[in-house]
Amino acid sequence: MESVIEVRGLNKSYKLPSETIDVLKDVNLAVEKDRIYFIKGLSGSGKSTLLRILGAIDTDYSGEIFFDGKNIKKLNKREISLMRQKMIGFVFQDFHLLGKLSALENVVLPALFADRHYKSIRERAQWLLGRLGLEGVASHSVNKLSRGEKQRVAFARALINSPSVVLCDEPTASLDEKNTQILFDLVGELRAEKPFTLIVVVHAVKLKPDYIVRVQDKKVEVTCEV
Amino acid sequence: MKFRNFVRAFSFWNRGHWSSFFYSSIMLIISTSLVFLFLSLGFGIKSALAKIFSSSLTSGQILVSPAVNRVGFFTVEKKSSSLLDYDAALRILEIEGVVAIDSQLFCAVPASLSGHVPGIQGTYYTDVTIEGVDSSYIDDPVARLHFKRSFYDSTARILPVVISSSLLNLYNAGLAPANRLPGITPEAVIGFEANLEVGRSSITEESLPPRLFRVKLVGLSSNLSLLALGVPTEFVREANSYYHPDKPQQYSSVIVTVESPSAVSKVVEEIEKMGFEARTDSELVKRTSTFLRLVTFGITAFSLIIVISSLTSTVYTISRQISERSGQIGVLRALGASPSDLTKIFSFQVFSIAFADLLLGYTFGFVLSFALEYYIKLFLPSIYVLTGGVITFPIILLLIILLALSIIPSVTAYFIYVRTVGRNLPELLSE
Repeated sequence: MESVIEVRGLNKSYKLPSETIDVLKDVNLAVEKDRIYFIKGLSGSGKSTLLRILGAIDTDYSGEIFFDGKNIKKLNKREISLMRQKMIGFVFQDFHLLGKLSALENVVLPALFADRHYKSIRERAQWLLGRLGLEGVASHSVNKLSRGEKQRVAFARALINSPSVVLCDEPTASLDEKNTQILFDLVGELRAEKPFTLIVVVHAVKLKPDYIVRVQDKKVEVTCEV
Repeated sequence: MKFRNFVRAFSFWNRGHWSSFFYSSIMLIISTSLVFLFLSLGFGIKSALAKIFSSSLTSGQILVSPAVNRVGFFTVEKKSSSLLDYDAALRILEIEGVVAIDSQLFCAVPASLSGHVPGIQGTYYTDVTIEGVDSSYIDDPVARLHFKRSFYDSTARILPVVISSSLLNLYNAGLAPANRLPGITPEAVIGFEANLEVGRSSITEESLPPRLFRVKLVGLSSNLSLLALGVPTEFVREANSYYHPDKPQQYSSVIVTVESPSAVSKVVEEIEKMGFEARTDSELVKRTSTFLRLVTFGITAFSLIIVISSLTSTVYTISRQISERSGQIGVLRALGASPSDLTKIFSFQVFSIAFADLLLGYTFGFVLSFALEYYIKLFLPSIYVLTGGVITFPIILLLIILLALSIIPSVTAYFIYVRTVGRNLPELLSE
């Protein structure tokens, strides 16, 4: 199976004034294309750190990470930005939506930085919001939306540039079981139409991914669930 | 990044955040309007003062007079001063480089002027000093042609006279406003007629009977003594000979024309060696323009300090906003916005705010200047007539300042933001 992300000998530590804390040590991982991965582990085990490294947000590590065959360490800031723009979608735990904008404008915003026509950006944003059941609130300020709706807006925003990998940091943390199910069903439908790799940090979800990545004692262990 | 996308991203990013610029914008608008007003007023005053202090001496001319001590408007001849008479004039003419001499001949005969001021009830009477002047003392070239009249001509023939343009300025600046009299323009004063009695004044009288002449003002002189009445030289020479046949003719001043401006300094040196005072146009201009430059510089520097501090405040507001919204900047970067794209947005933000505020400030400044000009015209018409207006709009300079003041903070901001926006992404996201 083709890998979209390859991690080789990854080490990550945080330097504090008095000590250095190792979070990940000699991690090796291959993320297959168009699969769903759940990253699980105890609080503070390094799940979010791993997710940020995989999404090229945190580049302060040792070892090598190849994203679509390119060594992230060897890319400059501009190239990393372009890679994030075209290939990576990110859903934050607290959504980080711009409160003064409507749902549609929040989804459109990251695509404005890419060299695309506004008309096509807007059409895709409307389509995504429609597919996620948000067509009725597209013009509403996100401050007036429920948490579940905000979560879906954040998903739509992550998908606006048609990325090949979507990374989600505990997207269901504040959702009940029913809303979590709805969200994953909708994302599943979108993946069916245009597949992408989904990597999600989760705590306790009954849903079944293709792979589970367990982060424990600074190491990762991948189990196939299919 | 496409321009239209840039504009939308700019608009989205700032939605609901413009109010944080309210105070810095108000400050910038007020300070810019004051700069506009100060600059326009400064340049207006400069040009008005230059008009008042102007001299008709050209670059190749020297004004020679007996050495004097000056106290305000008054001059007292130094005891050691040489006599500026016909012989002295001949000696000056012999100096190498001197081409011609025009003289202002002192009239030793007392005289008085009387008549009506047009448009005002009653008559006036004043003692005057008569000076015989050559045509070089008259500013208007057409008036010079008719500036001829003998003392012995028929009294029915009009005597052409000139007055000092400084006297007219003095009237407009002081006498007219103090006595609620209307201002008089140089054009309006030409043609003014009066009676001149030669041989008698309110304090003294010649032994021979006085003679009455009808006089008509034909021009103004920038070089004539402030309180003198300029008449043709032959008239004074003949009047002096008629009343004081034994007294030597003495010049109040002479204008020396030299062959080239480069010879002026050498001729001045020679004239000063002869015990006379020599003044050139460059000296007059230098004296007034140094003062004016200082005033304008002071006003402009003060105004610019206010504007620059306002612009600094705008940059500070945006920097603070960026630091408060660094989490959101992190999200945009995580979603693919490059640091340079974001920096462009923030720099453009400074530029657009600065430009819009400066433009608004200019508009208010223009209105303020216009209102000031209007009220001066309405309540101090004589000042308006004297100066021809105290507001000048140096359009090119104002445009350059507008562009510079818009661009400088944008460039400064760009370098500040490159550092802020380019920070470590996890660090930005954690704020």
